[in-house]
Amino acid sequence: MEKENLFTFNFNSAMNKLMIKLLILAVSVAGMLSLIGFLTPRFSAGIVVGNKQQSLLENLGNYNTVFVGTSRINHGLDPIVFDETIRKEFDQDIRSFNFGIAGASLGEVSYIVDYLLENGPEEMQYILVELCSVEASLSDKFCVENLKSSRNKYWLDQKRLELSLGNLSSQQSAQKRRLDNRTLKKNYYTNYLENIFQVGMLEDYLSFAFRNKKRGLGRNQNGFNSLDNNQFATALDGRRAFLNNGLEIEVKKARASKTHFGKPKDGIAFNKHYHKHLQSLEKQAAAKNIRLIYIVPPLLPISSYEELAVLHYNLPTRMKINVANSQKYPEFYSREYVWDGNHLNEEGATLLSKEIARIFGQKVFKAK
Amino acid sequence: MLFHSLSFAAFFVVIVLLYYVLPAKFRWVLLLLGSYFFYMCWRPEYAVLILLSTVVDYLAALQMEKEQHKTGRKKWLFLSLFVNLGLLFTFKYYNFFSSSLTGFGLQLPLMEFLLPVGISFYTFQTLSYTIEVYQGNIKAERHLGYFALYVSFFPQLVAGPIERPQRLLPQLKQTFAFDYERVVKGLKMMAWGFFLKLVIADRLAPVVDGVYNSPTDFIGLQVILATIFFAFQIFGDFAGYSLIAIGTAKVLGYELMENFRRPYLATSLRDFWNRWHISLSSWFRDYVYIPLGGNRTVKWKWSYNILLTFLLSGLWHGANWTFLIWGALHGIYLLIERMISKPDRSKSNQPTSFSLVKCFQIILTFFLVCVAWVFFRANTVAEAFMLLKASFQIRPEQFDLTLFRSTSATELLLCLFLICFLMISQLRQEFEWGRNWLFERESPLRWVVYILLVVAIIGFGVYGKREFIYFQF
Repeated sequence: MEKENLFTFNFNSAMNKLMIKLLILAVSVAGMLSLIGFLTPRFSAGIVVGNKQQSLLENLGNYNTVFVGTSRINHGLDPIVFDETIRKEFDQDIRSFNFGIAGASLGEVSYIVDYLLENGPEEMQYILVELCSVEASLSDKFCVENLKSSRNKYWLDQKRLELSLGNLSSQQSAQKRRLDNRTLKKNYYTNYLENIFQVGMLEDYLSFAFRNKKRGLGRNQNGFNSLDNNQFATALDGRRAFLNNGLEIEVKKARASKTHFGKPKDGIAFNKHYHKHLQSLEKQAAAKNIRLIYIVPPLLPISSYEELAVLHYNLPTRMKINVANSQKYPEFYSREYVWDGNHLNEEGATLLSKEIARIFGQKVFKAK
Repeated sequence: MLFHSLSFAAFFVVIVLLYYVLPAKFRWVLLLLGSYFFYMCWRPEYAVLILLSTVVDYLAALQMEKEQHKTGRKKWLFLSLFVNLGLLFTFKYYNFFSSSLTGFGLQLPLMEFLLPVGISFYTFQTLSYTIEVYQGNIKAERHLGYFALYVSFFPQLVAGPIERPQRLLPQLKQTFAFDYERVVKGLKMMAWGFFLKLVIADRLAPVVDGVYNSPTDFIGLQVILATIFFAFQIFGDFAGYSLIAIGTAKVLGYELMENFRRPYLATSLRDFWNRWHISLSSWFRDYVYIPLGGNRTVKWKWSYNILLTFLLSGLWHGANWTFLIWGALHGIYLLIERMISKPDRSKSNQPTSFSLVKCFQIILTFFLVCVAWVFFRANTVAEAFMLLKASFQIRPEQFDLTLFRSTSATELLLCLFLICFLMISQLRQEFEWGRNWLFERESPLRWVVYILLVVAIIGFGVYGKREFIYFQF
């Protein structure tokens, strides 16, 4: 141990040597991580999202319509039923693919839509996107951890970071309540940086490389996953919990949907930043001759009804399909068609697909 | 503040830069303020407990030195023991004892407060100071600042290594110039520590938690694998923490004691305790086992000394019957081992040759350690026995990579690969295989290894809010 008096700091050769070596190490590591990021598939953060993207890429010529959203879309919109209904009732050739992803957040959905607009099928004419809730996307689960994978961050690029931060401040003023801004912003920035440097993401690449390539594509390989045929523990646990609980979640949701979708409410504040984003996404699609329509599905989280109802009332009619209202669609809240309080069963999905197809057809083809 | 957080990264850079910029005479102030800030990031109010321990022990030691007679010194030692162990008892053990007493018909109110992080570590560190002053081995420290820094030195404040005053106090008064070799060595230790924690321990944790938190759902191979995983999880977690602590101190110039020396290559239980949590086991040896009489006494008393020491070591880990049984089990292991084997005169830190007999001894020791880990990890004693019983129910269909419901085959393979990698690196160190070839000369290959290590920490690390296991002790 050396003894030295007072100031020992000077940029002597040893310090320079360390700084240079640390810099070389940092650059090499960053370079290697960027290379890995460049070489690995963009959607390898989750097996289902990756499989759906790969399947769509491999069959670009087969589809002209894509559904995007959360598990409500994944388990609720059957492309075969949808296409058949359009064919029968409107005599149009629609070939759709379901890109619904369980646990998708607003940011992830926005990222997928952007991806589709850039790289989707050449013949793509329509994108039906679930109207996602900002409130639900603010929960810690989406920001910090999502299904034990990098699903919480792979989509968090510069554009999504701006969207998330903008939504955050706009949501606060719309809801007139204090959000834990510091934590949420910290989460977004951390995840953004982690996404750039591939933090904790290599394991997902490995899982993706050795994945079952058909997982999540459904029995007809069109992305629709009927819950009745789903043997995953989470789906079965959800069903068991739904059958055992006496709280009747679907009744509560039906009530919430009536309260908020029953009649339009004027003058209620809504998230203007998100609203602007939804409109710009539609314009971006229109520039590519693609019609983008937002769907408000049934069985939303109870806390999202008010937010989405107000937002929905402030979107132009051409841009939206609303099937969340239990007054108009009581069947989507009936035990007969509900799987677990949050999703429809296969029969329910068939009904929903037909109904959305009819509204979509009216909006798109009858108007022609 | 967790070591594996961005806030610590920023804190570390600021402290290191300021440390080498500041005039040497002010560095202790920087480290003391930094250490209190580091601790207060968790719960500011609990810093009062460290301050109380510091002031009481500082004054007690000064008073002890003034006393001519042993009886006079003893009262000040008792004061120190009373205050420190009193705080430890109140915050860590009171609820355990009061709930245990309800079984005997005594109803004491339960207290609702969080266990102060690191209380067991800094209490033992400050107690070692007063005991050493009492025994006349060191002189009382007159500079309150240096003493306060000895108690609260941030690299080892919350989970050790539990330092001795003879080692740390003189170093705190020294001035260290920037030494390239030392700083690089410290950074390498930190990197390896982060790898052990983030890539190995935290990856194994969900598999272990899955089994140990739902013990009724798993049997046979699942329980056995989860227990082996826990053995490596706790090693990765704690040895990782210790390495980061030692590396951090080394960057600043300070040498902390080694805390782990390849424990799963121990050839006996005695050897294991010379390699596992060395700073704590040597603390118990020096301040409990030897004062009780050690092995220089009649056989029954010697057995009693060993058992009591290990029971106290178990209790130190936590206020739960599972830890007491874990400690007792290790005490019994040692007694049996000493009864049936000749005294081992080899020094465990000396490189030795590999042989089949040694291999068998290593496996047997690891097996016994794992049996004890079941009690350490289980949530209750009943669950520990349930898991031990369930581990015998091995079925052929379990030999499948999807045997854990929530863990994919890739994850499981990765866990097994990491354990093999860790063991190979430990074997390499123990038997000095390939050491000169890779690490003792400048080579591009060495750079590749460092880059891969950092890439692995960043890319394969598990990032979330998982704390170090030993923080709870």
